[in-house]
Amino acid sequence: MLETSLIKVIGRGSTVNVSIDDIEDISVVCQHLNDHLATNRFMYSTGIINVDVGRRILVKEELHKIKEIIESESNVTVSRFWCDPSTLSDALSETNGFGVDLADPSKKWQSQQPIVIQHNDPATYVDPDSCIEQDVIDLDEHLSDGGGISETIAPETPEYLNGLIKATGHSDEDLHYDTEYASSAISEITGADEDTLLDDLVGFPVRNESASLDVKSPKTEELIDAYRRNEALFIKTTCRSGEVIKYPGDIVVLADVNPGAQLVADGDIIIFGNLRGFAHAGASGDTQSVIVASNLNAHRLQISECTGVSPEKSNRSKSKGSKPRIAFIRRNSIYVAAYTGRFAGYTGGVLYEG
Amino acid sequence: MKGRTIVITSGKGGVGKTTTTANIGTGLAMRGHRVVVIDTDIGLRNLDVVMGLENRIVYDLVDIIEGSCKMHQGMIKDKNNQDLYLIPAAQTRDKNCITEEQVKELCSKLESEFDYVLIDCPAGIEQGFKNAIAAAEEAIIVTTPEVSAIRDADRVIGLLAAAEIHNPKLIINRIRPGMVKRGEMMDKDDIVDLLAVEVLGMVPADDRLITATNQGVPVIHDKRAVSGAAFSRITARIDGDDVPLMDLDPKTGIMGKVKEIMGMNRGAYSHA
Ligand SMILES: Nc1ncnc2c1ncn2[C@@H]1O[C@H](COP(=O)(O)OP(=O)(O)O)[C@@H](O)[C@H]1O
Ligand SMILES: [Mg+2]
Repeated sequence: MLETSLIKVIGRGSTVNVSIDDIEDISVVCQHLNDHLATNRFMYSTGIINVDVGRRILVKEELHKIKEIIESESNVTVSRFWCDPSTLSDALSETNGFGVDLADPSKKWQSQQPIVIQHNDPATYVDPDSCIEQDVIDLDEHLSDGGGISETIAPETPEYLNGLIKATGHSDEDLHYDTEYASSAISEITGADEDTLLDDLVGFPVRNESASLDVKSPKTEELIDAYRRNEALFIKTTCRSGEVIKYPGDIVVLADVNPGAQLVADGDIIIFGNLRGFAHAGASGDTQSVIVASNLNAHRLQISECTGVSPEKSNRSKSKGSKPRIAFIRRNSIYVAAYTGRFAGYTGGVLYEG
Repeated sequence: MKGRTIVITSGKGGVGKTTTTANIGTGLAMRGHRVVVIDTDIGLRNLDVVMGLENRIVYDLVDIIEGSCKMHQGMIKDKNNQDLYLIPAAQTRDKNCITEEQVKELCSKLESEFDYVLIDCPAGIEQGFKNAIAAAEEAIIVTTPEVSAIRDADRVIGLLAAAEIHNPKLIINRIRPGMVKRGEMMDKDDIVDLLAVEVLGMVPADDRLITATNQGVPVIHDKRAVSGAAFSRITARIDGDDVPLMDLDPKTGIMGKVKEIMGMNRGAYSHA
């Protein structure tokens, strides 16, 4: 590790992380970076580096500048910028400073250019520890075409909130009751009313003066999805028979999921309890999604399109003494193995035949 | 002081809601409380039969709610107990003829006169269920040790939580200690492991209960019935007494406890 007053360089296998100070004025930091690289050029032979900007929120010109300094003063390539995930919430709460009207999410999409925070991708990301703490700003998304993002996000409708439904009911007669159930369930889970929830979900850490980019690209949906995957739905009470919980991100349950309950997440499903109901991770197609449970006793699981049925005969599985397990897709089948980490390389596991 | 309104519900039919309502109602009245039990199973009334009051019915719940009679005219006094009243369900109407608001209104009147308002809920989770839980602040879930009944209980607990009725208490009815011992029936721990609620009590399957029901006398009056004793303990717990859950198996009973303490009885299993 190498540390100066404003930067910190840490090697991680074949990649190098450069953390830059997030308090000092950015121009001072850039100058410092420039000087440091100029005098220590020999240390930075070819390779790839990631830059961690900490809690600082930068606009794309600033990101460009940093990339330019590093690449011109050394032989390395900047592959990614990282930021502290708390900047997400900061950016949201400081939105007045960015001229964003939070109450009207659609305005935000029209006037703001988002910085896309990608969900950590296990395929390209190596350090599971920092995974939890940090999010990745993918440079390709930002600085491609030599000019930053060329898309904006289309005005978002609260439509996906429809996905956040605890559906119940057996007949039409029940519909009225069901809506009540759904909305009370939402506020119970999030402690928020629907409006706040919506804001939480659609907010991006944005700060941008150069607006008016109205090109809509097919990537838009992907970007929204990528962002949502950084939001988890926390459920603190037992999911009971007849409850259907759908969420366009990860779902974390701090209780049991009973038989007859259904969890459907576009991301991962993590259960700190006994999973005896049905869980469907990666529901929008992500085959990298996983299901983790302290006690995985589900009869049937689904990840993306892939379904699997437990090979165990007994459907009266006792919860006592069992270990956390993870379900994942390998070669188009679901396997379940003892949990050793979200991004651990799993080779073994029991096949859940589809 | 305002009375407690408790709904007795289960999702599944035939698990013992009506039996439980009659016995707890009787038990609480025997302890000196003023109690009213309400049958909300409109169209399929039978709380009156279980309590032996069928022949005294003139008016019913719907009459009271619709104002065809005064509230007191529609309340039937129990044969054995001065402080116990029944509001029977209407037999010739259906459950959509009353609303949740009307039930709430009635119960709030009753709460000012009675210590306990017990509501016998119909099976299912439709309008009848919604009417029955509308006024309740507390709930008792009745289940039997069968997968289907437990699944329905789970569903109902979820619906109650959505209706802001939290921490329901569980009664496990029709337990057969012998079968539990042989591993042929789920035991308390299996059920609690799944439902994650507090157990209020366990009632064994009991022939004397059937006899009592047929005679229209709640089994809690029968001093020799094990199910009656179980309902007495449940009543005491509802009333705030600290009565520990007891072993249901007559063979392990008190002697079983002694053996257990002496380390002679490894297979001790079911406590009620
Ligand atoms: N512990 C028990 N032992 C034996 N029979 C029982 C017991 N509990 C209930 N029963 C019988 O089961 C039947 C259904 O009970 P009931 O209380 O009417 O159920 P519900 O009101 O839930 O439909 C009745 O015939 C009753 O006598
Ligand atoms: Mg009944």
